[in-house]
Amino acid sequence: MEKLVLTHLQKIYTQNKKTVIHDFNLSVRDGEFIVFVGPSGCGKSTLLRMIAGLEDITSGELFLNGKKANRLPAKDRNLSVVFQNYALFPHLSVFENIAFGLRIRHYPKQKVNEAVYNAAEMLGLQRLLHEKPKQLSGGQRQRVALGRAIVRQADLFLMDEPLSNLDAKLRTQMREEILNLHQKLETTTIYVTHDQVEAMTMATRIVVLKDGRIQQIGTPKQIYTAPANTFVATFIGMPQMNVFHAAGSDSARWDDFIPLSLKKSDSYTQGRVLLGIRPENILVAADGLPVTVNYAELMGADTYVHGEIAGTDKQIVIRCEPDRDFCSGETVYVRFPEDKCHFFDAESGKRLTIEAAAYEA
Amino acid sequence: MRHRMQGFGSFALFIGVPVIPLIVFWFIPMFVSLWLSFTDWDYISPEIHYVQLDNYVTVLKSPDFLGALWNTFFFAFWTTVPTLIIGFLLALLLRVQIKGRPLFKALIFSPWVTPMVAMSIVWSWIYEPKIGLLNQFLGWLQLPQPEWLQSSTFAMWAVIIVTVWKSVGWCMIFYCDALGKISDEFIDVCKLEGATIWQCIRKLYLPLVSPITLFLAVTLIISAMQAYDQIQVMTQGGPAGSTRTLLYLYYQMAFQQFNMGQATAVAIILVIITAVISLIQFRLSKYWVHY
Repeated sequence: MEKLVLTHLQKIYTQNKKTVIHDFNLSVRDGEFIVFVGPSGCGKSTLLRMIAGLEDITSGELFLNGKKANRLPAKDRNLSVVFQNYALFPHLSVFENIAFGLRIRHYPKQKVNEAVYNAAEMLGLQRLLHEKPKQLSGGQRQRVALGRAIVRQADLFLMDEPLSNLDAKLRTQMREEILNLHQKLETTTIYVTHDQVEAMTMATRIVVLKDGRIQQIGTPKQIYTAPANTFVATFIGMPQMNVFHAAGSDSARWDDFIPLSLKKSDSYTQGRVLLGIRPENILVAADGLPVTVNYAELMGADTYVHGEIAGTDKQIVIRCEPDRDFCSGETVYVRFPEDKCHFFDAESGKRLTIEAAAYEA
Repeated sequence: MRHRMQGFGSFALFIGVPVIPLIVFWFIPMFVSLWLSFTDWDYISPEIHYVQLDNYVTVLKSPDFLGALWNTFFFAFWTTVPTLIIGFLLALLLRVQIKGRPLFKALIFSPWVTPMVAMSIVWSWIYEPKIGLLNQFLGWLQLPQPEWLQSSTFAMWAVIIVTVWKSVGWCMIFYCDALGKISDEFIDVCKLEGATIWQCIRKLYLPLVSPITLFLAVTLIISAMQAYDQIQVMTQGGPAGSTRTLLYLYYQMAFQQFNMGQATAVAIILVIITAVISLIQFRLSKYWVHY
């Protein structure tokens, strides 16, 4: 069943007449974990606030559980929001923070106690129930914020960059906890982040956004292996995908790596195709395209080799095994496996299949 | 040795210089007042006799003092509480993004920068029973038109209204700042949970502005205890002592009756009362102030 459906959603701020969300369409199934990912200012938080009822919808339709909810007040949408800065009331104890929504809705005392203790047990907060938020660590505060969302037994969880204030280690730990919680509760979740690692590791489906427009919707694997355009290709993946003009003045250099069918096409010869290859898909071989190494970063499990294609100013990043050492100025030879190459239209940035790249005018 | 001298120089410059006016204009007068409160000095004659606690005993038994004490508490309560409430509500209203908000803010704040004496003169015209603006307005509404400053029932309320009117803008500015610092996320949480405006005020705004409320409550009470200008201009403590506060009683005793001993005893009692009230406020604050 569709839990949330957004059709042609648009948001225009009246003050500056700026459109921040353009024609947004999405169907979210019950139990899905959807991640909105994109750079700062792409409209992902605005979108979340529109779903929550905290921001007006300029045009388009929003359906919650099959019912149109454009004008439904936030309180009647039965959803919980976990905010970036936790939004824990500093004057209330952990218990009262978790119970806040239930108290406002005048739940009976016994039910409040039961719900809070259950949530606290689930999140390991039993010993902290009488503490004030300022006495807690970042991770504990985040758990309290999750607790407040849990006790409401909402239909939908909305999370607005909930881990961005935590350090790297804690972020990994909390990521796991949120996923465990999602598996346990099976509540449909919409999660906003600018962190591609969170998007890739947590999502059932990812929605990539840029300037208020959907760039691609797909599973993490789809997004990674078949990016819809150059923005998605370079936004998702660390280090980012290498993208070069597949033809033009450099055509001779790529000739060995470009499928024959593509090379015969007009779009190739006229320089209208971009070639993309992920750093981990580049093979360092005995011969091939010469690359001059600028520097190498040992990351532990891998080494990122930064260089430029010999005789050009084109930068390239190669992900290699950590056991090989690279020196600055050294020349290495690389090959691009054909099945790992991505092709994009140079003008629109859209993905092209090899066939399309070869034959599209 | 040179280093030590330098240290002494810095100490004298940064601590000594500010302390000198404090000693000359604060500590010495305070100790002189304390000493005078144990004497029978009449402000003119060079003869001064030590009378032990007589002044205090006389003052504490005097109906004038007890009346002024009651008036002081009454005045302090009815100026502090409405000022806090109205200031807070105005600041809450100003959270709404309306056109001309800065102008509205400036208008409400303007009485605070107007001298109390000038304001009191204008208000005495407003309170004029026959041609005053207030009674004209009340008459237009078919309401009773009391003799504000001439009636012992209404005079105190008239002085209170002026005092509240002056301080409300000042209070509002502090609350505006405090409310402006409340994160929008808290307000979003309230909206999501369907909190009513009263629930928002009780559970969110009031606790989060409580440190400012404490500060304002202490300063407003202290300034109410020290109210003089408006009383002097509008009522001179009358009619029939109905607006005579402790400070005004001190003024009358010292500079009209030339009974400096008893006057300073009143002043010392006033200082003690102010200190005790402030202390109680701070002690109680741990139960309702959230930092």
